[in-house]
Amino acid sequence: MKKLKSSLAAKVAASLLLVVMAVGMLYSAIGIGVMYEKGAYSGNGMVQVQESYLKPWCVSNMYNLMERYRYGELPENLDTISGMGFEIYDEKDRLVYASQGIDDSILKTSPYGFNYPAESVIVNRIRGDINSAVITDGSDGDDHYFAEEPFEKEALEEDLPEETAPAEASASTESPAPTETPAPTDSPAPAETRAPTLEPTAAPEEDTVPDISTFVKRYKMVGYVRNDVDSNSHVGSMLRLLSICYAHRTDFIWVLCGSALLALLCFVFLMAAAGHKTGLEGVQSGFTERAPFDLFTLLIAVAGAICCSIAVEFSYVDSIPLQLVGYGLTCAAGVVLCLWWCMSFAVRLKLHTVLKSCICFRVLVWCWQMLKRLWAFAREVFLGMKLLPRAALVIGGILLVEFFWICVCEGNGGMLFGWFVERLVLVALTVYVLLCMKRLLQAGREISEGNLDYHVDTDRMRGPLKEHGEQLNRITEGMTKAVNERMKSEHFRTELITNVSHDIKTPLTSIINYVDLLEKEEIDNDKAREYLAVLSRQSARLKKLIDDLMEASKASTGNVAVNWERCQLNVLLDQCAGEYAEKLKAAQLELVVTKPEEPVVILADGRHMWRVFDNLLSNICKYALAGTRVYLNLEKAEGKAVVTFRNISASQLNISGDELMERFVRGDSSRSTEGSGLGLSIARSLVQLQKGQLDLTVDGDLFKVTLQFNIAE
Amino acid sequence: MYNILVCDDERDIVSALRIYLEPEGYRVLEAYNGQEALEVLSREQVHLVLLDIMMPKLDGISTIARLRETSNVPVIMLTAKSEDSDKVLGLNIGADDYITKPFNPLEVLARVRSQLRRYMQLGGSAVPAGALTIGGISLDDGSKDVTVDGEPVSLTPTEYEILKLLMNNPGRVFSPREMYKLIWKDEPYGAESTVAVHIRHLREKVEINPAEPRYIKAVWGQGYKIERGKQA
Repeated sequence: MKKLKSSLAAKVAASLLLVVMAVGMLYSAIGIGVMYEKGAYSGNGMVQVQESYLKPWCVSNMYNLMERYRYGELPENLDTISGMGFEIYDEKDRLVYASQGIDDSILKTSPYGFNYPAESVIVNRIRGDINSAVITDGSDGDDHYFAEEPFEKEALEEDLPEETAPAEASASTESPAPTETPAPTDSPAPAETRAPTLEPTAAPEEDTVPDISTFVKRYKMVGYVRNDVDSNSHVGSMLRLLSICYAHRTDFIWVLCGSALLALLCFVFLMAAAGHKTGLEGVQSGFTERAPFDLFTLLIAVAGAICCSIAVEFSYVDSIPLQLVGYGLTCAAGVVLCLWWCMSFAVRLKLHTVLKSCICFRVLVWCWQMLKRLWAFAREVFLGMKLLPRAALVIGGILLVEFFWICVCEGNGGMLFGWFVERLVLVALTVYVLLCMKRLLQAGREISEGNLDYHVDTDRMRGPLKEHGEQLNRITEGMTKAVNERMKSEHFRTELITNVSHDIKTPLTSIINYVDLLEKEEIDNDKAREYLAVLSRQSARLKKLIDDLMEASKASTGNVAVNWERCQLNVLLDQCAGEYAEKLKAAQLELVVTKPEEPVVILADGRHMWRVFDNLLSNICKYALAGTRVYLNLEKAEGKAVVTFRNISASQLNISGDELMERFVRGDSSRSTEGSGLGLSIARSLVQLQKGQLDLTVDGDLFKVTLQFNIAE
Repeated sequence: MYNILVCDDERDIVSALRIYLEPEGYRVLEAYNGQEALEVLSREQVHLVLLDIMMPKLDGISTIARLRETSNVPVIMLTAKSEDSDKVLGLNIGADDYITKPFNPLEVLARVRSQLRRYMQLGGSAVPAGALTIGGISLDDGSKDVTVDGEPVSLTPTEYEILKLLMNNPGRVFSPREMYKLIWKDEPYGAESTVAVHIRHLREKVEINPAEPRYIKAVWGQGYKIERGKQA
């Protein structure tokens, strides 16, 4: 099978077979069509078939003859071709011409035994001598003229009923040979003899009648089929053909079916074999496939159209056999064209190149790609522009379109409505942009207020707005990360200090305890006692240092819980003054407290506040110059509660308040051996923790600490 | 003779405590972690436990929880953790008192004494009629006697009045001005700190460690109150 498919000979044979079958189909189909139309399959006899076929054929043939007569052909010539006899009458019903050998006997008798009433045909003959009528007489202009005249037609129709004369047509199929020869030979003679008689009748009429009808002569033709019909004449061959067709009317069907089946088989084979070639695997594109498919189709279609027109031309040919041959040839050509196209189509289908090989498709694809490239380019240019020119471009474009739109509108309501709709869309867009901007604004505000958890929802934003939103989000993310890391490290540090402190405390406990035990032993050695006292003092100091260190680290990193409650500073001052009354007295200091009558309330954690005051007052006890006054002052200023501690330093303060504040830095290295120096730092951290502010001022020997808190409502 | 269980993973501290406690007439039992402490408790009759919090094997908090299932022996925590949350946790779980390291030996002795007295003597003894009792403090308004953990304390009339006022209203916070008006029956006119001074004196007499009072507490910025004692 594969071999067969790729064999060229098989393909050619199949194609030829297909063409032959197609022609056969055509012929059989024509035969069937004619036979069916004339009722051969529904019981009509051959004579009936011939008659029903002959009738319209004769009429049309007579029109042809009349036409030729009108253009000046000699009636005698017409006689011989048609195989029909006819008579021509003028409008006064005078016989102008009768075919040769026509007489009543011929008319009345028929070999078939029936009268054939050929339709009378009336034709206008152009003015002029019938005999000498020249082609130029029947020029286009005249022809055109009378054909268009309506009254002529009416007259023609009126004439029809009265002028119709039954004509006996006789056609003999049985005796074609004897009648064949005399007809052509006889016809010229009577035509010549009769011709002169026509002249006198036609000529005077032309001169006497001056109106339009004088330009036109109306003739009537009565036609009949000769009983001695020549088998070579049109009618004769017609009848012969019909009889053959009638005889083979059933064979036609078989031929049609058989050839159709065979043609189909061939077609299927050819379609399957299309593209296969000897010695090559798979489907190969041939010579035809190089041409673009649509161009190829167009060429085939043009060729097909030419075939059709040739076939149509053949339909004008008088001779039926010639017609049939013409049809057959054109049909064969058409089938070949069709087959060519189909095979090429099949090959392309197999290769999937039907669309690809189309010029149209390629052009479309190219256009589409160009459009895409253009769009990408425009987009790139647009996106590459800075925001301002971009916005200007968009707004300018909108304005321009609107301008032209309104110009074009000219007050047209519908179009103005279009403009209105466009405006609505623009307003909606503006509102959208404003909403996005509002969201961004809100985000900016939140972030600037330190709300790092704020997240801008950029899902429904576009372009630069979205970009901005995402950048804001990234800022918060970055900041949150940094803050978290810092918190983590500080927390870690605090944890470390706490743990280390705990670990130090255990051995320290032993040291303190055993020093204490040693002190209780009765030791005579004074030096030993002195040393023990140092140990005792220093271990106590170490203990305090550790506690302070822990507290300082916690307070400065905010690892201290703040239990917010209303705290009356007046009361706190009293309490602290009371607590420290004796210590101050011991340090020979006089405390002067001034405070307003009405209570000053702040929100703070009382224990932390006490710790602050405790640290500050204990510092004062340690470092203030004995015999001086210590001022403790509370006042309200600009919505704030301000507490000031003022005292005179015992030793000279040669550093600034800021330096004093630094951890482990003291006002003076020699000032004290007790305390850690962390007191101030702890106090400041705790104050800050409670949203207050601690400031330190050194003015000569005046040491001043100022606390500020927001007054609670 | 009372048996006191001292439990700490630091042997030096245990020895030191033994040195302090034995002269006072207590018998000291030793343990070095929570499990040993529980074993000793199940074996011997113990009247008081001194318990470290951070110990190997079984920590102090868990030990308290376990021993509280069977015993109501007084427990004093010894802890290096000075944070409030640790203290609160210990007290909630069943400790009766706490001492932060490094501790003052005298304070330890005082607290031990206090807990033992409360546990052994006052536990069931009748309180005189008309006497106010808060924790270890009792105040007899009839005889004007004040005792702390059974020890008589001598107070000045003002201190007595202050204590009486506070004990009559346990848990209530009195501002200095209020107290001044109620006790001195006069407007303070800048003498409010006097109250604070008296409170301080009172604390020194009543409290074991005045810096960390158990009963008379300052609510800084508001005033003073007396805690509603646990066994009151």
